[in-house]
Amino acid sequence: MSRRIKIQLDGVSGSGYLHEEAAPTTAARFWAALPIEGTLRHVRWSGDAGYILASELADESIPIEHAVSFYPPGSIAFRPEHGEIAFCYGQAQARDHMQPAGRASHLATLDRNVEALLEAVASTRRQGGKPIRIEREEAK
Amino acid sequence: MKEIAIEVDGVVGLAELLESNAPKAAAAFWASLPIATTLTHTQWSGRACGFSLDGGALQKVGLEHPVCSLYPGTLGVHPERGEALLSYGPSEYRSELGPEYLTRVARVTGNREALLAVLSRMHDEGDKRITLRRNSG
Repeated sequence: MSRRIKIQLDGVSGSGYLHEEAAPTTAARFWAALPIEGTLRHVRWSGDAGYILASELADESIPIEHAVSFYPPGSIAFRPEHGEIAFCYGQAQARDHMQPAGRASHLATLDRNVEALLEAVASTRRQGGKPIRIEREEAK
Repeated sequence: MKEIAIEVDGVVGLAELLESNAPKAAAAFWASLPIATTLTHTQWSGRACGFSLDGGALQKVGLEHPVCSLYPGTLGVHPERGEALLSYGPSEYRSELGPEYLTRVARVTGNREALLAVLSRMHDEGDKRITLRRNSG
């Protein structure tokens, strides 16, 4: 059974599962770093997504696994060079000022209370940053 | 030289209208003033904030001396789309399809650092009101 994570964003909770088989190194490093707290801000280059920078995970030696350029809605994508964890709610792509089309690891997929959580992510575009906490969801 | 007063969150900057760079777009933009609307941080174009333009004469003007990259403090417009972008750092006009072109119509020269600092904060603080009017000195 896949490891699960719980996300709390500005009073809205949801959860998802890690892609441990497809992204083993990324998932293991991410799991070890939990819990992660910070401010979720809207992306400036990548479209319909919010992101946090986890400096403890910024490591260019972490390989891109389960590679995507376009992020599926409800996915959590990780860019090792920035330690960037992105939550996609619509049309989005791994971009920055240097790269109009980069790549990221599809780290996890949301599957519980997805709609409400993605609405909260989308609201950061017009309302600014919101507090977020990502933690392990222990098996019951 | 024509100047535009740009006010965001109580901070006023002065921008020089770039008439020689884009005579048609600059004239149409000047004619469209004053503008009072919502300013939103861009999601594709980097360190810039954008607002919608009403139709009118500007919408009929094509691109002039089009560019992709915007230096900080540059106001660019895409007339046909009715979009305007005001940059505060590295930015490039992009859409979901990739890099696009726009026309530079003004450049912030007065109280520049303070105005750009307000724009930069929008990434954390969200939408703000923007007003643009002819500066009478």
